[in-house]
Amino acid sequence: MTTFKRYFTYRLTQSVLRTVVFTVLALLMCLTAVNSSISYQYDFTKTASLESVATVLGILCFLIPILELSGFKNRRNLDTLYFFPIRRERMALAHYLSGLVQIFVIYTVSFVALWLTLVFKTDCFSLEYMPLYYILSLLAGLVIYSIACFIFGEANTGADGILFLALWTFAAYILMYTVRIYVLRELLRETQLWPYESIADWGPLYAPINNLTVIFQNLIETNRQRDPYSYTNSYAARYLSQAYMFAVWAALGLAAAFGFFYRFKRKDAHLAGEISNSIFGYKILIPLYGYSLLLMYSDLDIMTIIVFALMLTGYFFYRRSFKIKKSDIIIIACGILPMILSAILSGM
Amino acid sequence: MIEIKKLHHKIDGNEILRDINLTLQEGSVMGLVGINGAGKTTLLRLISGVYTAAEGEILIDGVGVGDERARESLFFLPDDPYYTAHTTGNSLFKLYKTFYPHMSREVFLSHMAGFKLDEKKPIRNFSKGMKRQLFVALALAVKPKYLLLDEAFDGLDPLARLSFKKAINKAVEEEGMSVIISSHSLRELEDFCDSYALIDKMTVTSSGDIAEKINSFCKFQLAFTEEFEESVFSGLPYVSLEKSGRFVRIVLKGEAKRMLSALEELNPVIVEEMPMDFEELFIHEVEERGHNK
Repeated sequence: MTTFKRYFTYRLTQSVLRTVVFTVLALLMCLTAVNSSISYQYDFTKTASLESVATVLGILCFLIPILELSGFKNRRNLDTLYFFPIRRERMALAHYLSGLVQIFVIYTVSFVALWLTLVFKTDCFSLEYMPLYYILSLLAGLVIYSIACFIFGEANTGADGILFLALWTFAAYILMYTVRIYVLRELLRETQLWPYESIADWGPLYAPINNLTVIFQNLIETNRQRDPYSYTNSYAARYLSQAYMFAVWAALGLAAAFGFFYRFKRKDAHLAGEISNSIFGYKILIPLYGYSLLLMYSDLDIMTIIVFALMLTGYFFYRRSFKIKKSDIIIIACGILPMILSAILSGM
Repeated sequence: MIEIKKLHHKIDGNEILRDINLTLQEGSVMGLVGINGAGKTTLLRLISGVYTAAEGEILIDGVGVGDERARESLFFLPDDPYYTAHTTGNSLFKLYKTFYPHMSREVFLSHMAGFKLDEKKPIRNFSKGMKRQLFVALALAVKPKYLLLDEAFDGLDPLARLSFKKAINKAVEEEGMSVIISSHSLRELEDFCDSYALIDKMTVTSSGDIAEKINSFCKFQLAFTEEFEESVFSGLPYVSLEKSGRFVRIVLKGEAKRMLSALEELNPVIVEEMPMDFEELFIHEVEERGHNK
């Protein structure tokens, strides 16, 4: 057995208890949801079953990378881990795969339990779609998990990593929203090019699982109706028409997985526990959120002060000091000063 | 053999180590000495592969330390090894066994028993010295060809130091293990090591055989019949001189016999050779390089 296989096996054995606990919690969540969510309406039966299992998958895709990779944020731990005779990228692969196995086990058990419950509970749903949903949702989970691993891996501390994950979850949405509203609509007077719906639909980091679930939930619920089209969820139809976005997310996931291993191998051990200076961290996130919020509330008012305070707090948190850098002040000033100037000029 | 060639290292743009060239022969025990912040821990982290050198190379039996095969023969015991609230000796053994399949459970347990440690107890309740003994037990069970110890005697009481040194010495003698050990306890290193490397101002300023180095200096205590000027010693190659009335204590660079003859020419009432130790030598070395006296 190679060192990698032994370490992978070790990681799996170490995560047994965690997997069992999470499986029990996931089962409780899914079975409670399936029992309480089947509602028999006038001529149509609805369920939020897939949503519950998709929520479990979504949570796991964010939580497991944090648990699997937190050990690499501690320099004392790296003194031990990095002298072991194993290549760093293989060590990272062992953690990445171990996390995937945990997600697979927890999700599969929850999914099968949910499926069986639906089979025995009602014949109103088209459960033949379940296997396809299971496979596609696992792939969507793989995409989100890979992106979450990359984002968390970019941080030098666990707290920064969690914050990066939280902020990146809506970063693309915020960015696209701002571009659409203020660049396309306000500046270019273009409203058709980039409809709002597609931004809201595909921007958040959990979108691949969420949108896939809405499509399949609709298929499962409506197909046995006499006139399925009359019951079709408008969101499901829209997501289906934008199905090419799944390919975009898959490409992002692939790039993130590659980026995760590439950056992991090259990351200096001395950075663990230090300020998270990655370009994929505060450096992008603070101005992205700050500028977007300033553009959303384009008038100089109390919101400008709040955003200014938020950006400043962001930099204090980033630098772990009240002494921030000149470049941070310039970035804040670049957002605030144009608004002050514009207010003065319009007042004149 | 561990060979370090033209090693340079920077952290966040700051130069930490510059042009390090060092060789650890097989079966040798080398003491790594230097003032605080000299770069001893960084050098050990580089040798163990925890850090990647900016420039230069580190070869373990001819193979670069970046190659996992080279690290199979290494064991690095950091100053403050990591553990969680639930870590026990057994759980650590399981982790290390993953990477060193030949690791001996019997050897581990015998050393744990020798150190009077319980392998089932969480190590969060252990003292620093006990934790260090536990990791030494792990290291000895791995039977590495090269053992790297950072601040090895830190937190150990005199008895623990003795058992620690005995265990390492035994492994050196019986297994032919080579050791690099960084410590500020120079008296301990003098007993324990056969060679040394002094890191100062980011580079190895002095290295070699400890006994040879000590023998290249000599120390004398002299008494004169009347007060005298320090200038009477100006013709001698002294590195330190402490004068108190008619008495003087002097450290000279050179062979003791030759220096004794030279001192006798100054007609002292008493001239007596005193033993020179590694710590004293270290202090002279670093003071000579401009550190505070």
